[in-house]
Amino acid sequence: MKRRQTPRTGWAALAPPLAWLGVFFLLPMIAVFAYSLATREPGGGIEFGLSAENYSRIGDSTLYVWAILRSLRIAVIVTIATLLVAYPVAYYLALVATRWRVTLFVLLIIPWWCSILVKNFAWVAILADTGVLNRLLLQIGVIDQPLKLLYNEFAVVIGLVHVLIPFMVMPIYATLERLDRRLVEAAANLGSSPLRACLEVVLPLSLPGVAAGALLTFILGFGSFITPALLGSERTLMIANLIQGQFMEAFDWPFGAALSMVLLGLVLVLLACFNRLVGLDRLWGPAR
Amino acid sequence: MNRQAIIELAGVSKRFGNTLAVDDVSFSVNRGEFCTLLGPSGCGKTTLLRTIAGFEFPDEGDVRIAGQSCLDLPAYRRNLAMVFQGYALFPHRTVLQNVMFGLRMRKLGTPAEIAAWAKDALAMVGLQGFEERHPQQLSGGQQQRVALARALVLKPEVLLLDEPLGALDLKLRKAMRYELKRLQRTTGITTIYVTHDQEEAMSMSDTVIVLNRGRVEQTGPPEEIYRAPRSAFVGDFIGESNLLEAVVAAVEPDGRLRIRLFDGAATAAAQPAEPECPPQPGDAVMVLVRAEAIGLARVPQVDGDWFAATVSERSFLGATTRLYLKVGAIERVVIADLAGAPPVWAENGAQVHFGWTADAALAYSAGSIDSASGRQ
Repeated sequence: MKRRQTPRTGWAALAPPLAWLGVFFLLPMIAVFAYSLATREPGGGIEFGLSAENYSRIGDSTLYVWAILRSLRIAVIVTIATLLVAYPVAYYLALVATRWRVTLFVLLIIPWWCSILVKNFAWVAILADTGVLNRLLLQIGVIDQPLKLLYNEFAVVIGLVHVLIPFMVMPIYATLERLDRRLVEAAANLGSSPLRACLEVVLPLSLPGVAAGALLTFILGFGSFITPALLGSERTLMIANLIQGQFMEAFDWPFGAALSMVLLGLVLVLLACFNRLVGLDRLWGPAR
Repeated sequence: MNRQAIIELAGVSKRFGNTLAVDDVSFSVNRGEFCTLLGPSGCGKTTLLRTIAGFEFPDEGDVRIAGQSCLDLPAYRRNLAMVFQGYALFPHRTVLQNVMFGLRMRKLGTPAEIAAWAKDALAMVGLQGFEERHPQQLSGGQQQRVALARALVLKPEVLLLDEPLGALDLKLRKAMRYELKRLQRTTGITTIYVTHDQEEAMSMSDTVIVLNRGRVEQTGPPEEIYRAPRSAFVGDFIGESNLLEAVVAAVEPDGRLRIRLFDGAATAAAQPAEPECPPQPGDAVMVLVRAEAIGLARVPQVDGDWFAATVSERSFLGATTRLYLKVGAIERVVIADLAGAPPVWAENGAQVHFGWTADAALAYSAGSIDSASGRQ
């Protein structure tokens, strides 16, 4: 009899978070799924049913397939670029900085408290034809025509990298911070230069953190819509922009919902692959 | 200096913030020698080893390898191999890859040669068949052997060992002690060994360097350190000893001291630890008497000095039995290790007498009292 009580109290303890997830996560998800199976009536109303029409419509126009492929491409580029910027930062914070670590960390975190809109608009001021960068380049005579830096994929990538850097730095920092320093010393003792030691020991052992950071960055980049809306053009529209358009402009909720479900499905497939290769517990737990 | 010396430290000091971890340390280690840095934790022994390895740089002094100052040589350019505390095996590499690592980094041969040497090294430490395992799949003792193979395969000029047996259980530690000594003798490799375990230091070393608070207390072969400890700290740290406060009552013509101890209740004979400058009557001294040098009798004997005591505890240690003897009003406890079974009358609470021969008691001037507090 006593044995039965443990799971019961266990479930009781789980009830509040489960209820929270159910009300604020699962129910909206079910609602979106229900919408995706509904049909829109000529009058503007919605009739719920079990129609796959919205899903088949996605394939009718190449627009959506291209938007998904473009989103994947931008997410890949952003992930790689963020990794290249974030890895040295995390490496420095975890293994080199000692006195300034806390200060540098605060500097890294502060932008997190400011709205993504502000961060993206800052790039408008920098990249515009009359922006800081172009004016500087014109003044020192490197160019005589302002460069087209804004409202293209380049600007979108820059804006996303800026926003997503902390998501890459944190998991990498966490793995590097846990790294046994004696391993680095052992590598040096066995004759590896600092660069060799980094490539042979530090980098391989930080791969779980890299994978976790890359996953977070990729998913957030893949589903982003504010940055491409602000810094991109109609030629850089990403899948999330089209979804937003269906909901807010075309008022075609069933179709927007179907697109959302496809986006969700793609992310879930990605998570499943990651789980197979690395293990999802690496995202928040220590490497075992 | 010594032409045989391969490692020489001259006036090395190292400060961490406000603490002086190493204070003006000089010593040299000869080719083929097994040298142990022995001391309590915080005595600076690991800092010294890390300085030799190139992980720390001294604030003052010089470190020479084979006669050449190596202070401007980074760790990865020094031909030394270190076995780390906790082994520091690469968890993402197999056992064989771990052993091959140094050979690859130092480009000591072709890939085929490197693999063959690494396998030989693993065979030498008795780990054939473990090549493809990962370190996490091995026991502590096996990991220890991999770390040893990884270091020895490089045929380094000097092998540095930082408490290599610390993580093993007692039985394995004793077996590995023998194993290490055997490997050292067959390879003839110069070894610097860091430990806080006096038994390890005694049983393995050619030379023991006793450190305390960043300074060298004494350097010498194990027997010399045991028989003629130069300071009360060394005597107390090595072996089981009694360190007793006393006052010099008289200096006898033959140079021996007459000391007053146990609150002035009794006197005994003792040797001055430094005969060239013996303490004077009235000086406070610390008297060191080894536990095994203490004799026990039911009634005071005619020859020698005997003290009355009460047996407060006895513990059976196998080859010896340790008695805890309470002396006088101050309840000073003296420990005595008796070979074999103790006499039946020396039971708990019994009134007994104990004493020692004058040669067994060494008197140190009381300046060394505080340094003895570092006892572990």
